[in-house]
Amino acid sequence: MMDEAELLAQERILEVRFHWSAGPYLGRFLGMLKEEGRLWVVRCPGCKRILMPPRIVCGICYSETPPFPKGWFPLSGRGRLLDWERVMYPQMDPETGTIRPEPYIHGTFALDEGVLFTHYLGPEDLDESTLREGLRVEAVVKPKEERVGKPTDIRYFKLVEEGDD
Amino acid sequence: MIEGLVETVQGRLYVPYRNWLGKTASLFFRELRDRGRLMATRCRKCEKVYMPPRSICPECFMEMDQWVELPATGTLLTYTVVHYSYSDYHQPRKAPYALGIVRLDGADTGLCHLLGEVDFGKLRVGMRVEAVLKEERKGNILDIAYFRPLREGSESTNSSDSLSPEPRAGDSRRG
Repeated sequence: MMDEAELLAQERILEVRFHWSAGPYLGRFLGMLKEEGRLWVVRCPGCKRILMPPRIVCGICYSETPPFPKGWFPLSGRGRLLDWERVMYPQMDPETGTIRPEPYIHGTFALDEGVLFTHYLGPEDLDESTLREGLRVEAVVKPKEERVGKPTDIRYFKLVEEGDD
Repeated sequence: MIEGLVETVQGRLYVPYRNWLGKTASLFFRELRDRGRLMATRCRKCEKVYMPPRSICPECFMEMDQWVELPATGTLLTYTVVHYSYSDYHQPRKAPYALGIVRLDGADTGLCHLLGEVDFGKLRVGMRVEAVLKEERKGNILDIAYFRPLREGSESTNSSDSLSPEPRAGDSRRG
């Protein structure tokens, strides 16, 4: 009765919406990004390094860091291009569940305050052949009415002329 | 909300996937889609009739190759009313809606499905219901649109009820 019969498949969608508590440190980091468009960080009182993103306990020396705003300060959003890659692989954005548009250029930036930051390198029509290590970069922040308290409130980092910033 | 503080971060997973149904469920859905028939499997050893059909009898571990067609009528074993909307993808329709487990006449197990054309307050365990099939069927469980209460006097006298007595409300017969 069922030999060589049509096997059926069903197309389905797994959808899970979730939210998680950002806590007082990451919550402040994202909240100040939304309010001011700047990256607020905290310096570890023990080893003096900058914790980006800020956290309650330093991961290296286990010193407790002070709560906002004592010991906190905003980063300039400027630095130098350290490394980059062109991402060709479609991946799901965990914030929306949809596939991120690709390709895009993902950069690692050595910010002037001495911390590393990774983000998109833009704009979209950026000519990759002009890139080299050490170029000056600057964060391009969305206007306040578009900011929602997510890392993507920084649209991307753009190249700037040496001495322009 | 405090200014300059984000309390929660929203996220969402969205994974489209394809589920192959295997030979038993494929036959069930083909018959439902192409002929509007409700097919169940029957165990040769314990004679239980499974709706929805399974390939192995979970009690005897016998492979079941006997198919029986069941009528669209049955008895409501239990029900619930869903008031909570949580996903357009995982719920068959917008809340509120009623879900019931229906034991089709001639079956020994219950089939979970939507209940329609009924006031939620008038749902009763043991009430007689019938499947309403969609005109355009696609080979999934929603080819049955829902189960609705069987109207008074619409039961035919020679229905399969005589083969399989209707359990009373509170009957301990296992679904």
